[in-house]
Amino acid sequence: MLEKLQHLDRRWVFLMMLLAVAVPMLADWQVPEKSTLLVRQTFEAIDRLPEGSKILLSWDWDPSAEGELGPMANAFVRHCCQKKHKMVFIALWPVGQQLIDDTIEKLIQADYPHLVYGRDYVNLGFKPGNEGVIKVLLTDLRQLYTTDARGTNIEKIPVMRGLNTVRDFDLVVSVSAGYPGIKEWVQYASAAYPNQVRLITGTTGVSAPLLYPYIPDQLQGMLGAIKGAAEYEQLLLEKYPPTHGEEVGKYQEALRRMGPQLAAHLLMIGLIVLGNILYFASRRKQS
Amino acid sequence: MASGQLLVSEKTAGKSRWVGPALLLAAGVYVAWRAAVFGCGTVYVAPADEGPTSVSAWEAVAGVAQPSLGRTIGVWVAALLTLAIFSFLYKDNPLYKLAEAVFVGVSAGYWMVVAFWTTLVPNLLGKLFPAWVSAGLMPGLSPEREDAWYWYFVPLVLGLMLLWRLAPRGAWIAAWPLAFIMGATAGVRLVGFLQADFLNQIGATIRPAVVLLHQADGQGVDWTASLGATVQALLLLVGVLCCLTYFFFSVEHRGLVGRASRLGVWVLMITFGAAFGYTVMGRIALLAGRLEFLLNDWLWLIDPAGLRPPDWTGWW
Amino acid sequence: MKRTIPLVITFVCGVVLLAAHFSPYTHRWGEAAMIWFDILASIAFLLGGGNLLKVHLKKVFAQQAGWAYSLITVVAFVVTLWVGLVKWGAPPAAHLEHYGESFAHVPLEEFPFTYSVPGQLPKTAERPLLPASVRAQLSQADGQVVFRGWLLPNQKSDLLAYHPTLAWRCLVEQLAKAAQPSAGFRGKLAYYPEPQALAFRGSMTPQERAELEALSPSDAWRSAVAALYEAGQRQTEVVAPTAPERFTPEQARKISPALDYDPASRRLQIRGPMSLSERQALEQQFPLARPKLTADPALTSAHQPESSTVPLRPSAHQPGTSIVQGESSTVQLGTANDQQRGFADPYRHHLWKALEDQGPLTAKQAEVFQAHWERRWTVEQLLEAIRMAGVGEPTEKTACQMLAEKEQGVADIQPIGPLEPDQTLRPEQAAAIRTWAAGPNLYLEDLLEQLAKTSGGQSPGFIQTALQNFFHQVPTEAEAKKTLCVELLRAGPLTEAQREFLLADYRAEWAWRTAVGELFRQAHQVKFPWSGQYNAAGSPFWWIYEYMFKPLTATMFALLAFYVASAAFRAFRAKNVEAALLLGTAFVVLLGRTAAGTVLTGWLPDWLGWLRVEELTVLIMTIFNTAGTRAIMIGIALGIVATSLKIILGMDRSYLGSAEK
Repeated sequence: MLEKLQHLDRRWVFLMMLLAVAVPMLADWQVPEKSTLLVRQTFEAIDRLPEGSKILLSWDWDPSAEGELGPMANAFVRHCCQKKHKMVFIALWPVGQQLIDDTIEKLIQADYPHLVYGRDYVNLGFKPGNEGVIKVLLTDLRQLYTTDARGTNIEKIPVMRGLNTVRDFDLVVSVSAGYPGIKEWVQYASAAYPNQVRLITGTTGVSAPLLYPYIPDQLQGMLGAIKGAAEYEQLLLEKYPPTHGEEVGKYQEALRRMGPQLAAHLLMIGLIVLGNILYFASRRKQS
Repeated sequence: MASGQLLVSEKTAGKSRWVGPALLLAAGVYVAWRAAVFGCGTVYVAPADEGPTSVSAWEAVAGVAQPSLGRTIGVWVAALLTLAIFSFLYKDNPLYKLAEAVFVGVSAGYWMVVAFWTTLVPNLLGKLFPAWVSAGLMPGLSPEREDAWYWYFVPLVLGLMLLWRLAPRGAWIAAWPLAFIMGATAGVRLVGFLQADFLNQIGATIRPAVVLLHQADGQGVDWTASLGATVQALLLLVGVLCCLTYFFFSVEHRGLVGRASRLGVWVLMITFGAAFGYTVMGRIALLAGRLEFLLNDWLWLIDPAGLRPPDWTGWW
Repeated sequence: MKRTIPLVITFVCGVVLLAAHFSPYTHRWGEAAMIWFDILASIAFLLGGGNLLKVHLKKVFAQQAGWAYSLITVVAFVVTLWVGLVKWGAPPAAHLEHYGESFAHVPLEEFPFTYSVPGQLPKTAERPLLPASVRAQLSQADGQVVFRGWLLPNQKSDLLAYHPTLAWRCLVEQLAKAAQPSAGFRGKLAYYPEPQALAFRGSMTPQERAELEALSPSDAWRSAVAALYEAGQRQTEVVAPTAPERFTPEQARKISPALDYDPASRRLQIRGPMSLSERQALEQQFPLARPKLTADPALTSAHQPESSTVPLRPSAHQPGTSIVQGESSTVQLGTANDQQRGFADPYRHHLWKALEDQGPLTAKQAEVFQAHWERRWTVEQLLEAIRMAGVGEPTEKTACQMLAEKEQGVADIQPIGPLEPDQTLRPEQAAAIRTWAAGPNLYLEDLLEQLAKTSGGQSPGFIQTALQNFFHQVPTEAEAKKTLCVELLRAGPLTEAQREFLLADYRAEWAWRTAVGELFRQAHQVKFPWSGQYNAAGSPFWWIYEYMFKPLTATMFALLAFYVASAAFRAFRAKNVEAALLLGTAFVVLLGRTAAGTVLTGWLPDWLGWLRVEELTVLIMTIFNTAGTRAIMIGIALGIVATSLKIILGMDRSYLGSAEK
């Protein structure tokens, strides 16, 4: 038996992982979430700003990270819509522009139709250059963004009046999947103008541990991985309960994914423990 | 450890050869049945100013939306491409290679189109020839030239030199714009890393090691919380110093230095363990996202957001 | 030479960017370098695509192993590139199309009207050039500021922002007042300098044409006017499958004289283009959603409090909550009082009865119905909105007024004038609103007519504005019934008759709106066919992104979950203390970041709370992970600094190596 387990084809492990994620999803197994301090701080960063504050949202991700960052992005935007903040979207990743359009169509236009494009929010789109874009944003964003993503002259967009540099915004939110992302925002925006640029982020599980040294001086809040997203969604649902039935499901994406997450984590722990048992057993047998 | 070995006895090896294809066939029949009876994977559209727009199935129940052939085919293509990629887990196969080839081609094309329309047209051509660009391609752009607009010939020329790299001869000229890119990157990163990752990190470490926290009502010191915060601050300081000691390879790691660097290794192991935990979390969430697409948008086995009538979703 | 120049470029570039960080005099060079960098980054994408084509085409022509897959790559690349570059299937950008207006080309130099105002164009060191929106039209001659064209609102804003002095702002205000079409054509005629187009809103009458042609003998002007006249005569029609109950030809002509409607054939016709406001007016021909009534509408205004901030007090007339749970499927809503008074909210009762008559309803559906009704708007909310709109706003002084004050020697010039007086709703107006809200079908025009009667001719402006804004967010009754239908279906089944009852009006409204939209699009003169977004939803490029690129990208990364599981089983061994520490931490984090941690260690007392798995996770991340990552970060930062210096100083030339081929 031990011999067979030691030589177990990895495809059985793949199947176990598939079932660990699929079965809770099919059974709609959800678990409650309790928020941690860092997520509460991130929530407060948007919530305590007065209505109508100017927020720069940078979509530095693409569909490869949708599993973790999609719910975060939706939660941030919903929060800003509830607080009636003015939202300016940019993207540092090429596909980010399309993701912004998706957010606008499926979230803002669907659930907040009273918000007007150009007056309450705008999509400035993608510009290549990675940290070069952030450097230009520090001095004069109109050098790079002459129009928005739809081709309207930036001078004619009401929400952009008075916004010339990143320091004119009350908060910068970066949903970040890697490079370029929140690390570049910290290095080039926050470091250049400490105490003038307030930054929060929603980031992947891979990047989150690497950003802890920046908290709280250079980075004022962080949602790490799907757990952070689930906690944020929980806080948002508690403070701003949706008014229509269909909204609830849409804004619980991360909470839904925590059930499969738990099952998969338990599987991972089980696999590591089993692997070690087999290892020590075979070593004892050899000795 | 032999890989690719199934967990079966030799006696049943012959029979087990049929298990896989049989399971696949059964799954295929089930999916075909769900498609035929429930129309799973159908996308509904309603007319709008800028063309048909996707709407939820409730609009179809209300009688104002029609199924869209193009988008329904799209969902099925997306699902089949997803399964083709997942088939690599079983073994490398032509379906996976096909999906991979499509992925490479589509990605490169997508990025080229994005770069062209988001930057080359408005930020290069639009600066050099604004009247022409605003007349047809981007009417929102001003047709007036800016002050010192002729400087934009520099990136145009550098860009053409960069593209010359593809030419059979004279590709050496691409080194000039490459040098510009390298110099700019080096100049920008030197300061960025020094400021954010070096100076600010040192500043964040050199903090009071003894922390006094006051009670919520402002009456006196909260000794328990202060003790906790002090221990944390000390651990952080000692942790950073020990890790840095470990990275200092020009001194032999013996004696006090050796013990400090060993402690540093342990701190680093904890760091890597935490990173591993978070990485696992991240990867699993990505898989959950894809499975949600397959089970919700394609097969209609679940409907967490309530986008369809309840009787359209289910196993049968 | 081949190696020297690139090294010099690297050095100069690096030094400029370093200097830009430290010296304010070199900031602009750094900005320029970054902009060029961003442009080159976009050209690098082209290089990537070109390289891909080169490599794979070579493989295909040489018929190397796997050439078929290379062919697929090339085909996928070319198709994506083509549909994206030509913006295939992308409709023109709606916000740039100037709906409702026809365009005719008139070059700026041939525009016959100029306007002059005495004054000087300001010279400013910070902004040597005039704003781009007016640069071509504004000039200085003989002590006058001359403007060719008609000043648009955005041009006025740009000019006001150009220079802060009162004298300049007053000049701009005077220019804005002067540089407009004659009174009869204000709001109809405009000149857009960027496309150099003369625009006319709607359909031009022959009299208007004659008047316009008489304004100037210029050929360009006359031919533009003729083109605008022709464009305004183009007839477009649609046949609507359904039509609003109260829509008549008179109603159509009231919206626009160019609109015509034949009720017999339901043919809707328009001469010339349709504007957005005309379209909106056509679409809003249906009754609004009924409110939740909380007081007997028969009560006169004398019994209502004067203040319009009527609290939502619970009344005896509020429908009771005597919902019978369990076996019975019929539900009683309303109290005995309601029945005696003939129902405080008769429409609600009628709606429920009608649904019950056509099929059974469950207790859960009754709850859903109640919850739906609770969300409806109330008359009190409307009255409050009107009250808020009537609150006096401060008046803004014009720059010329402030300049006059300055010349008179006023010391402290304020930009804000006295508050406008508050305007309030009179009791009879409030009563009219309540009576209307309790009526059978709620048409906004009926309410405006009633209010006009109580005001002796025209309802006050603030009330009209408040009503438009309030009801802009209120759905029609058909839309509300459709929402109710969806909510009821979520809670239980409905019979076909019940569905038809709830959805028939919605379908009819939808069909009308679709027909109006069709007429709107057909009547429109497309100005900029290539102005649309390259990734417009529904276009082939969008299809490739949504159904190929997105799933492929996401799935490639999702594969990693499986490999991490396999690696965990086969490779992660606690062979020594360090490895055990790593794995132990991983266990704590894996448990602490899910609900499992809470369950496993939730029983620990508060004084040992820091040992709970979720708290331990936080401590691990904020102390040990931070310490280790910080040390690594410091090390990497030093490495980056060293490498960057080596590159700038030319000591590291590895990036040039492959460029020599």
